[in-house]
Amino acid sequence: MVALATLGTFATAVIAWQLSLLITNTFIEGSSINSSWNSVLIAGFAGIFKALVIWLQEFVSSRAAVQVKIELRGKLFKSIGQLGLNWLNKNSIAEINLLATTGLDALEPYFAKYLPQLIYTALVTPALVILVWSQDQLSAITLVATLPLIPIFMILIGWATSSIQQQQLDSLTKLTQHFLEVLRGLPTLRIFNRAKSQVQIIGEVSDQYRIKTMKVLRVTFLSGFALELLASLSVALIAVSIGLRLVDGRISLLVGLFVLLLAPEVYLPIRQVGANFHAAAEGATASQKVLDIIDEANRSQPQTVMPQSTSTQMEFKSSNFNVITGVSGSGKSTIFRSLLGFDGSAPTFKFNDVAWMPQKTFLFNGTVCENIIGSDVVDENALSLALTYAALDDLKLEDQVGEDSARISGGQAQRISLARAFYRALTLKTQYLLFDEPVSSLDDSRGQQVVQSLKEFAKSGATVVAISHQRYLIDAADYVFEVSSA
Amino acid sequence: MRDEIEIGLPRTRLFGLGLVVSALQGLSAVALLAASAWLISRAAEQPPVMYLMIAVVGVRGFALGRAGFRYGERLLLHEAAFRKISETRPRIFEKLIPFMPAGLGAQKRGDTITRVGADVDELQNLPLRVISPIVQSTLVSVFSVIGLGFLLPSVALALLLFLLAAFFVAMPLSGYISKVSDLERASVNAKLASQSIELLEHLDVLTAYGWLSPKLKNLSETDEVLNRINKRKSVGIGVGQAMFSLLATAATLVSALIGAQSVSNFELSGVLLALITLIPMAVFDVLSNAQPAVSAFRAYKSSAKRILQLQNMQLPVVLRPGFGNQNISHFKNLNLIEAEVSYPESEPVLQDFNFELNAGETIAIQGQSGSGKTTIALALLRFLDLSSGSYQINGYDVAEYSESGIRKTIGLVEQDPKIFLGNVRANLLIADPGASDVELWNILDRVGLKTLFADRQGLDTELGERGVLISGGEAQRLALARALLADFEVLVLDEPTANVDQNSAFDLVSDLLAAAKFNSKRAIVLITHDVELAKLADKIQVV
Repeated sequence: MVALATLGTFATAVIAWQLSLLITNTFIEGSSINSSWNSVLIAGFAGIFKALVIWLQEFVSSRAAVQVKIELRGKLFKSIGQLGLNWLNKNSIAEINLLATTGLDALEPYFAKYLPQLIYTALVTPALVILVWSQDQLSAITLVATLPLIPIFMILIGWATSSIQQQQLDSLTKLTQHFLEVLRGLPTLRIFNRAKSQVQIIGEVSDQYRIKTMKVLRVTFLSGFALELLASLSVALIAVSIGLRLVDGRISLLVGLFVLLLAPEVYLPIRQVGANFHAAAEGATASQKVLDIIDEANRSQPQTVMPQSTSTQMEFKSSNFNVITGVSGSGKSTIFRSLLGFDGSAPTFKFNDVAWMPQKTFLFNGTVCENIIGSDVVDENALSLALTYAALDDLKLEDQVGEDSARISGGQAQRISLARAFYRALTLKTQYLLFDEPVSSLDDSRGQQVVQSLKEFAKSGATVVAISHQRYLIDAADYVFEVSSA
Repeated sequence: MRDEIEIGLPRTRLFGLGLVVSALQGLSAVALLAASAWLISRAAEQPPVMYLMIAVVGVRGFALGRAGFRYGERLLLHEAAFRKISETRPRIFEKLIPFMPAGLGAQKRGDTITRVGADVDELQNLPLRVISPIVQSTLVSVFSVIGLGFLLPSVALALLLFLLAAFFVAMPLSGYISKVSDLERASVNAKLASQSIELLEHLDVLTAYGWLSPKLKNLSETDEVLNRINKRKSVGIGVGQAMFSLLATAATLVSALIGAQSVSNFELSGVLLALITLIPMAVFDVLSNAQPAVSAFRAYKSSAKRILQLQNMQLPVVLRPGFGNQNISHFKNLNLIEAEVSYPESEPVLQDFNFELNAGETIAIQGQSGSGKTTIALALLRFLDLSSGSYQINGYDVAEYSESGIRKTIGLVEQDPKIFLGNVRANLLIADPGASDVELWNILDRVGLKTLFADRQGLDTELGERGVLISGGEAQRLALARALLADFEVLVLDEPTANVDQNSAFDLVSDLLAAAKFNSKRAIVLITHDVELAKLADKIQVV
């Protein structure tokens, strides 16, 4: 990068010098066209060279930027995995998803444009100022006097805008959230005849977002304005000063033109820093958030908080079918989550020793088989057993479940989830089977079948625990734990 | 193509003004360099200073203009672009209304959300990154070529050729190189987004089953694909910029050469040589703003195309039930006779279905999952029209009644009711915006949620994203409360007890029955797979 920047500057200076030479020679000396050809050839080669350098620069920096982005995203997700559910529950999923996708995309301009420009500025600007100094001290002094104003302005405006940048990211998140909400809730809104009135509300929310964003931009663009103004006024100042000194003959046209051509180049890198500042600030905010999460993951130790009271009072017997029941809201699912360590407490078992079936069914878009085994290695015996245990008799293994399980019914989805847990219990020979509302969406005959399967596991020595309020399941239990509210 | 542009193009004075200011900005930049060049050349002839004053004022003025117009241009254009978007969003939402819930399978919902969110946001790039830089570059090019034409037609012609090369060779070429990767990138980004949300939403299952690391690996593989695409794209960007730089240098040098020739032939005053050389340089500087326009337009076009597809989506017949203008003053009875119901473009879910419901009655529709129970609910609410058979209310065909009449009379508690981000009050007021706090508490009492929320922050209790701060059973009760508040004369309960414990389930259904008796008019349709629960109704109809 450094070498490329230096070479590019050198080529620019050569072109400027040759052009000044050509104009001066023709205009003042009245030289013939032949001498012009020399200058044009040299400048032409410098131009080709400069184009090559530009191409290489772009190539190198944009590659590096994507690399950084991907690395950060990988680390972010790894950290989220480490921090676990307890942490995730305290944060908004929509917000983190936005950060991991669009938020991190904002890093690209930061690394591809902003940072290289910053390095470029630090190298090229002093070199060009020295070059101007060697030809015309007064112009160099003007440059030296105005250049530091730019970073000072930028820092001042940066202070003013950093909180505003945050606001912009926040309002973007809010707008996205609002949209997800109304779209997901559209059926509900229609039932209450409120869908049409939402049309207007969406317009209003969009407008509020626009007004808020414009407020932010008015300030953000100010930094760009300050940069542009300083740069162009300084060029004007130098041009006028050169002009007036030319009249007195205190400077030659050659030097005057050369300095005039170089002056904008001096400001160019720092102007581009400013131009990318807006995008870069967004990237910097996003990257700060990502780095905070990664830091948090590095600092966090597995906590050793004792499990919540309810679970410690229950002793689940092996070789038995234990059932937990109680009114909704009494925290039955929390017992399982606590045992699994999802609420921040130390997990009571190793994950490898548990087959857990969550209350809320989650299937990914794929075949029934993929959803059950979750990997490429299939244990045919266990699989066919699991299907029987889960009463999954009306779907083929290669059937697609569709996005959001759209191609199958709720009961079928629950039975796939059951088969998944049974398959795990069979293949890993887990000691514990934790089933949360295993038959809530099943018809009675299939539900009974699943209860028998659970009893069979208990008979073979496993500790089976089910949460349910289905009478026939409770009736089949060896032990019933009643959870009362609070 | 015209429609695609139309959808993002703000046809407003504000935008027009923004374009004018943007052209003035570009022209100021060119004029600044031209005036400086003339000032220095003229000064070299050492005239009295007063002859230079006009140029001095010009240089300072153009310098101010370049910065000031830039600020104005950015504000005006952004404002115009954002306004256009604020108009588009509600229009698209409105378009989607009849498709939910019966028209868009759940599998399409994720896609739809991406569309309305990201695609609409993308629309701002047409005015900001495509039209404005192209209009600015074109106007600046035209004025500069005309201006040069007055001084030296041959230079003007040369500049014109280089500009045409930039517009019609360099820009399309760099656009073409990055084209394939842009398309690929969009689909990879969509894949990445769905993988990311899946991982976040189901972290519990993935952790418990030890599937987290394969999922993380999938994600990083997708990222690797993105990386490869980006590597290819970076070649394209670099080539474009390099070509621009090359054309700029070449245009400058050729102008200088032609100018020098003309000066030696005494066709051009030497004072103008610097000006003639520097104008092409300045014009190309302005033009570089337009360079990313091609790839910006392509990104815009694919978003615009998807939005158009959505806008032009034909509403299937079954989602277009006819409505009259009658209101239902008192519900007496409803009849489905030999009804056949099917989702758009699929086989009928339900055939030859007969159903009768009278005011005050409670009927259970009992059947296994997948037997079409939910479909009946959608048909009763007229979210889905019958494909054959008839549906009558109070003895008249339903088509006689207005949509709002139906909505006021027949309500539904969905199997998976939506709890909106916000507090309890906001969620209840959806049913009746005018309800007082006392009424809300009464309703909460009836569904057995009074103590729960009284112990928390009352009606201001926040329910969290997707209602995560309350349990499944509580969400179901809250949805029920919402429906009771709307005071429907016919209430359809679709598996209301899927997440409620059995004891309370009986209580809850009894509560509803009591309410129906008290009112003596409210009819209830209880959809359930649970035979025991179905027995609580006056009649059971099996499907």
